[in-house]
Amino acid sequence: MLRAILFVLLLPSICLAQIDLFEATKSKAVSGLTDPQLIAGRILVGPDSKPAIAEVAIVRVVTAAKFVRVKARKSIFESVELAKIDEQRWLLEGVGRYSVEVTTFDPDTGIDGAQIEVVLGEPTKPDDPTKPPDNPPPSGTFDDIKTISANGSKALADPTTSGRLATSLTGVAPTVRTAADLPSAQASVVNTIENTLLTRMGASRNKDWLGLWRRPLNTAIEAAKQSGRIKTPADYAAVIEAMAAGLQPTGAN
Amino acid sequence: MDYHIPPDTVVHDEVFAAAPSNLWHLPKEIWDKIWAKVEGEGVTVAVLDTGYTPHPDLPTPGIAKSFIPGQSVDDGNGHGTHCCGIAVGRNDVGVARKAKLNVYKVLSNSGSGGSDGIARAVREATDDGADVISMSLGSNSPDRATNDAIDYAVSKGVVVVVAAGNAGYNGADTIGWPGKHLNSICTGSYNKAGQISVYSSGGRRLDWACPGEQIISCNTRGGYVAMSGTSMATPFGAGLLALVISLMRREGMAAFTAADAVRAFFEKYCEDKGEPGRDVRFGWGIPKAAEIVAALANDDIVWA
Repeated sequence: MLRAILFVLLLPSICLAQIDLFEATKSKAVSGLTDPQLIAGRILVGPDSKPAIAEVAIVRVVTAAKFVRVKARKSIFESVELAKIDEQRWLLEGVGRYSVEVTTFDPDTGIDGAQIEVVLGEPTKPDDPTKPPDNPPPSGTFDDIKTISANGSKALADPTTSGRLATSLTGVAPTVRTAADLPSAQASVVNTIENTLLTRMGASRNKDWLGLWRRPLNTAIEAAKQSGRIKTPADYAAVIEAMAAGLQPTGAN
Repeated sequence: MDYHIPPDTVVHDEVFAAAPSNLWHLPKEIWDKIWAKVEGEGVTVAVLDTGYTPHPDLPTPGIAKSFIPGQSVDDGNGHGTHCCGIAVGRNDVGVARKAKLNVYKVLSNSGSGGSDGIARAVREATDDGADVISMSLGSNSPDRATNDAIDYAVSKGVVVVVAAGNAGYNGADTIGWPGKHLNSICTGSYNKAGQISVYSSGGRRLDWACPGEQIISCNTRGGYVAMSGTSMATPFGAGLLALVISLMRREGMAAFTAADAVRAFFEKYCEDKGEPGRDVRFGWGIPKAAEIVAALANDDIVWA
């Protein structure tokens, strides 16, 4: 029995010894370029280039094993091929969360394997020097909404409902962000708020959430819309997140 | 002391296999618009009556209790089931058609019950989470325990709707108890023509009048039957108040905290009938259901 246990314990350490290094280093790649040339420290590209920057990963495997296979999976059912750069490096590209696996084999030492997780983000457009600076991130621009939400929450002194609303709004924000248009986003938000308020119990039912929270926020959001601060569902999602933040105990100012 | 189904409640002979598609007290051209905004979601109506018999248009009660010794909650009379249908019946039969139903059998199959059971049932209905209590019953004299139980219910934010009685009005107050109790919402009956029902009891305590004549609702032997009386007006009023409470809660408004708050609401949202202002026949008048719902729905709030 002792020998069997030792065998089980020792086997992994023998196999792991085949892979000396397995790592993924994130980098950025520019695509959509025509006729790129490096001149005087600048990359000159053709006039019809449509550059886009995407996150990529360089996967590096150092091993003495004779056979090496590297593959990536987005899910059990979806594998992704990596482009081989040289004997030790592979290129992984495409937005997503990947499980990158390496398998090595050597007739003398047997089979070994390892796995790491790599997350690659959304591609972004490079800054256009002729474009005016972007507005600050939406979350920063709706502090007024957060303050109104916080003041209403404080006046109502109904932490149970505040907490439930904050949770509901945080939950609906991603749906709002990807909504087809503002009216459908508005409907989902109003439904979420009303369904949450409908579940009020006990003393919470005696609180005027309509007058002290909903109406002031509705007025402020409408004003933000009129002034052009809210144009898209994504802007509105930032508003919803600001409302939710104001409902948190730390959101009160 | 015994309470009874208000005397002279009329059960009409005709039994319908299917409910008429457009009941006079729930005209579709008005009520389809109301139900598009609110159907009583999240609100519980407790019906204290002769019990409950299952019917395709009735929800299964969340709670069903009998306070009549030796009788189950099963409705051997028909009055209770009919009232349940008026308040919360589904398929266009009832007012608050998505409200929850709790049933308390406080009147026997012969239509009478002791005050002890009624008082206990009011308290239990309150503790069980009722938002509205509907009591189509009455007596000629007050009972302390019942009145105290109603006060208890109202103190917990429950609206208690009670039938005025079917004694008519000849100049002297004919309203029964506990309809006459200050914390009850005392309900009279009006007919299809908008006139007060001849049998509807009158007096200074009357709060309002609701549809109560030839009201078609669930029959314990299947199908539907028409009944007339302030007994029918009472669950209509209870159902309407269930819609009001559902809307108020959903919109984020503060709840009614006293019967006086409900009365202030009636003063604003009832169509004045009879003598100008509150009067002995109509109370504040008859409810303007569509206006009530439109006013409470806050359709101008579109962002938050």
